[in-house]
Amino acid sequence: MRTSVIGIGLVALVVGATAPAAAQGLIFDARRIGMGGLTLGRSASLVRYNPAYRAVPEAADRRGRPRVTIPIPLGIIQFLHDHPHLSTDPAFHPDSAGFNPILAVNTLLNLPVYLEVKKAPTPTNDVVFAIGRNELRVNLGAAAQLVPEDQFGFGGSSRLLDPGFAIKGVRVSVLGWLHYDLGIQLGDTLLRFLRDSFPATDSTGYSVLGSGIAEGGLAPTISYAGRVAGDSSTGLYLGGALHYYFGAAYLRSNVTAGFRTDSVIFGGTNPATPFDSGLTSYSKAGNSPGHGVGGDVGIAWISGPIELGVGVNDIGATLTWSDTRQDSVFYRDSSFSKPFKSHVSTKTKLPVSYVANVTYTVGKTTLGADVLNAGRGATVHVGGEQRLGLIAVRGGVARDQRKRIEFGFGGGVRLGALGLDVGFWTHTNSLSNERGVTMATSFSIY
Amino acid sequence: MRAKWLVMTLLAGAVVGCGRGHAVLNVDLLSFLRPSGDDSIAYNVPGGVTADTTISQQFTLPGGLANSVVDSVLIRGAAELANRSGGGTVTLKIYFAKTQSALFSGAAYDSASSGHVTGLQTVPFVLPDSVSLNDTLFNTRSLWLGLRASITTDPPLLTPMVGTVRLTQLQAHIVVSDKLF
Repeated sequence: MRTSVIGIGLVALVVGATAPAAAQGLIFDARRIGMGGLTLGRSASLVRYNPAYRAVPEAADRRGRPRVTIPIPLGIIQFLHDHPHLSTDPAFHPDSAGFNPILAVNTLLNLPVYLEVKKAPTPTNDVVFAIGRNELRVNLGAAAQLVPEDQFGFGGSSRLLDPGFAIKGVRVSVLGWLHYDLGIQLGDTLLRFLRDSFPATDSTGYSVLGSGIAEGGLAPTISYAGRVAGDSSTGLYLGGALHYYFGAAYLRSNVTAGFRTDSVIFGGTNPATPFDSGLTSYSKAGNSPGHGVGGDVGIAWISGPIELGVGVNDIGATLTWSDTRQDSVFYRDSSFSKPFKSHVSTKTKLPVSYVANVTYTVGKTTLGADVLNAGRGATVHVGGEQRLGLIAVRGGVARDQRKRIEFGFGGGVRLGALGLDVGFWTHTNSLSNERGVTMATSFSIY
Repeated sequence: MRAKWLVMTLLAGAVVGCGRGHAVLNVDLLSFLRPSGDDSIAYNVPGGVTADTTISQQFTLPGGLANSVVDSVLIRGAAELANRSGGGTVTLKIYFAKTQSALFSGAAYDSASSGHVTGLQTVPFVLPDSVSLNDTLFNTRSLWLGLRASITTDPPLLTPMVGTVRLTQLQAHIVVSDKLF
């Protein structure tokens, strides 16, 4: 029972937590953090999501940006100072009486890479239970606001490698791709119970609906990127790619799990009976691979100080898996699964992701904005950098996947080929409705 | 009360959000006693004697409580004495203990007296709130609840005191630090 309860507890943690985890992503560059996560030039998201940028000359991208950025992980020092005996620290061991799930989850959601100068306060209100023979009601107080009303989760697609060769803008390569997505939604009864302090009723199910998928493989790709008009200072660039996806393996699961209250909630020996049911589909590596076709398109326009770009990835990327096995999962004292169907054909779809960006550079000032949707909601970044001799000051605003506004500011100093940058960024990557503030530091080599 | 449910509710609640706050359990103990009739103690005691009548019931508390610090326990109760005949005094006491054998050997958590009654008479009496700080009794998985009615009757012997003591309220307000894991 204890194990299952901890499981439910951890699910509850995930409930309030995974959305912020994916909200802003993990950024190692203090410069980007100082600009609210804004990507400038060819780094990070632009080349990944806009195939046209492969043809944009590197020279148009310099604008005082470093060649290499090395993060200074002060947060790790802080974390190890606070938890010097991590392997035996009871706060991170679920079997320990000192296990602190709030701390454990917050650590996962907010990896201690950078220094946390202001920790987001975890709600410290009391949680009140009203308990009777046929009564159960919980009032989470302010913490109830952490219980998400909508589906939440994290996911996206990644391109792990792309070796190939190019001739006159045409490139032939083999792309390694990965798609993962986890979504969880509280059932209506559980949502009312936790968030609205609605009394539990007898003979009623309280459930969490979960869905997840992970798939990966290779994609032979032929792509083109080139300038179709203008010159190196003012030009229009187009890019496109056609992928033939080979899926090596995939797993998709849709499960409803929870518990059902007894006919009199606490009238017997078993007030809450766990249940789960669902369907898992998978194709192991070595089975017949998945097949599908998809493409990317992108356009970039460079006109002196202005740079505009739009890129869309994985258009129409639906894979057919001809040798899928399906198992049903269910609960009988513990969770079981049994074969349901074998050698069936199923389909999966890669999420369409896109980026749009604009950058304006005049003198030693660079301003920019981008919108990025990597498959689970759009994030918006607006920011800029002003260089003043050896010093640079930066600022920015972002809207994360939770549609919360975050703020970034920072600065840096450059001495010859070396630079030191500091950036501060508010975040909601914790079990809290309030923002924390991270201080990022990094070295840059120009 | 097989209260494994408490484990679930406590832990889930704590995990969801109490942070360094407390888990507060307002338990309606009476609701668990009532279906089995253990909320009432009937008496029929000859005159001029003192007798005790008891009932007891085991409660299974959450395992998480064993890892927790129970800051305080407040017991709040009320009862009603419905005397039908005879006269005397009824004192109601509430006990908690980790074992059944120890249930009535320690001090009562709460007690109240009806005062002297005689003949057909109904007397409500309220137990004063009982507060136990830094309680270690509730820091366990198994707990016994006991009710004792001590009846002292008026002579003569052949005039028994007959009636019923019935609980009308019995609540436990348990404040727990959040070391529920």
